[in-house]
Amino acid sequence: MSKILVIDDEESIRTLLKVSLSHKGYEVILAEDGESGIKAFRASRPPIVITDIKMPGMDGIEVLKHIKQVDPDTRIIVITGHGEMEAAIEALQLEASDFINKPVTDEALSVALKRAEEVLWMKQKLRKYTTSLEAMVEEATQELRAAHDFQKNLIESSIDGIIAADERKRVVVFNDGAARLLGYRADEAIGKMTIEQFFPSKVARKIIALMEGDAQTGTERLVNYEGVVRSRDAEEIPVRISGATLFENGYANGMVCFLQDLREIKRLQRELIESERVSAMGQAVAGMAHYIKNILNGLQGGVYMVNTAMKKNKPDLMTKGWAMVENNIGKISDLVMNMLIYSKEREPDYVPCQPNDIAEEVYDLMREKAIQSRVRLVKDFDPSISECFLDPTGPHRCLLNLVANAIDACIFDPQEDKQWVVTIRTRREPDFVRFDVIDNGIGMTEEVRKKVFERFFSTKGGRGTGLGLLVTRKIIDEQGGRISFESQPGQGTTFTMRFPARPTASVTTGGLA
Amino acid sequence: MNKKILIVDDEPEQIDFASTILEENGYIPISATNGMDGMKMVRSEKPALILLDIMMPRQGGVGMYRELKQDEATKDIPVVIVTGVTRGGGFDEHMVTQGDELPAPDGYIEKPMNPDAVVKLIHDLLSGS
Repeated sequence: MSKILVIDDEESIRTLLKVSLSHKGYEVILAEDGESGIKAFRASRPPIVITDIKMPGMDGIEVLKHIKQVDPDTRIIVITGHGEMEAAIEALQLEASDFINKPVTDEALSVALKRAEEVLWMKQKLRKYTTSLEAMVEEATQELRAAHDFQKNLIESSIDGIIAADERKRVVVFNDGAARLLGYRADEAIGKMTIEQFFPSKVARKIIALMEGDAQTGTERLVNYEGVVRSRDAEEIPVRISGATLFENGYANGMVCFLQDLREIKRLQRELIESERVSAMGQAVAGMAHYIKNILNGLQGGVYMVNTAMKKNKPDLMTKGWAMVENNIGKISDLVMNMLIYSKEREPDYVPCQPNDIAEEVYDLMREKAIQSRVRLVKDFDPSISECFLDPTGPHRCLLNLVANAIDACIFDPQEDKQWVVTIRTRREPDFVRFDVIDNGIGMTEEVRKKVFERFFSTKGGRGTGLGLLVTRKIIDEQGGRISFESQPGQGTTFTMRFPARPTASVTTGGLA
Repeated sequence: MNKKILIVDDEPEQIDFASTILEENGYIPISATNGMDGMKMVRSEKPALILLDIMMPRQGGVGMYRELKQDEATKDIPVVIVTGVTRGGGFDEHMVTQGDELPAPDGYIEKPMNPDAVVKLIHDLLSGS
């Protein structure tokens, strides 16, 4: 039940009001003058006070002032007598909520109380609302702080360097990762440096441009760009950079970039390449040693036979032994030639020559080996090929390697009943001279086809060095030519080489002889 | 005593070299350039010992060794493996014995061949049997 304090010096009014207000359901407190009214107010804090204006001692205005001081929300209704309009106005100015004229009618009282109650109710509601609003704001703030702390932690604990900058590119976020990577402390960077200062100038321009991108097309981000940052010690550190321009209400207001340190990855990559190189070299050396041992065996055999022939005077054995020595010396010079070609850059020396003559020379050189290996070596030369500008050592060496390979492909073919054929074919093409070497030997599996031009790859065990095709390719590259091949296991292989060949000026086209 | 020694090798030079060594030391060299011909020779000529190039193309050496060791009539003929691969890697042994499926060969000769060592090995193997 709501309390109400009635202050009036006239007992009749006090009684009247008490009856009337009690009837309306109020708990009524009565006071007969200002002083005791204030005392009663302090004691029971009623939300509504009804006070007479004109009282001996402390008057209604004074009471009003006092009470408003204690609790400005208290609704105070003043009772005014006839001709006390000025006092009534003063009371209202002092924030009395209402006034009732004497004689006090029940109707006037009800209206005044209703208004007071309404204001009180409104105030209470407002207070409640304000209080809960504060609570809500507090709650939201805490959530926001938690989210912020989480993000901050996320940024701080990230291993990657994270740098954010405002629209003037001044650093606003600089996490531990960035500090570790770049060697600056956060307090040295934030607000004092610009984001560009962490990159070498050329890189900075590019990265900023990429991050700023084209707002129209929405490409204002940079993803996994490999670049470098510049540390405090001016060290250029390889990093993977991702970054983006930040927008607020459609306007760019800064940028953020993530920097992943690639030093360890790069180091591992270098180590891997190095170990691959060492192992390739090891393989190459082992392969070469193996091959050389075979040659050495031939040389020792030849020498042994020559020595025996001299001791026992056997001219036949002498011839055989000596041929063996010569053959193996040939193999060694071939190997050394290939090694030299492989290890050195060489400027082609173009001279007028006849491509068919080159093929003929190779045919003559390989015929003996083919016969020994039960392989038929066939010539298919294009007679329309005229003299042209070529570096003859190139096609010569390449053809020699390819024909030797083709014969080996037949030797290694397990189909014993096959009639093996290796064909050397020449053809004139508009800007090229084409050489084909065709065999019907063992052919290549897909695995072998993939590795054909790899360093020191050989399918021939101790009979190969893995240098042949490598050298062939290198020569063709140097001379601006092309090499390709087709191969099927069990069917054979065709290698095709094209060398650019200008006809010699003095010779008319066609070359019909 | 049978002094015939069979050389099976696809490289004519190697056959010439080995034949000269054997001839000079009182043996009778006979030869074949592949495993199939080699087995024919073994059956017709019944050699006292075989020098076998294990690295012949098309598995020729390995196949012939298997055939020799699995046939009752030929499994006791001493076989010396001629190889260009440096021993110690276990590669040859594994290849020859097919991972212990076949008995180990009686000897190895590594290229380049040292004639004196070849002669001593053959002499030891033949006098021991």
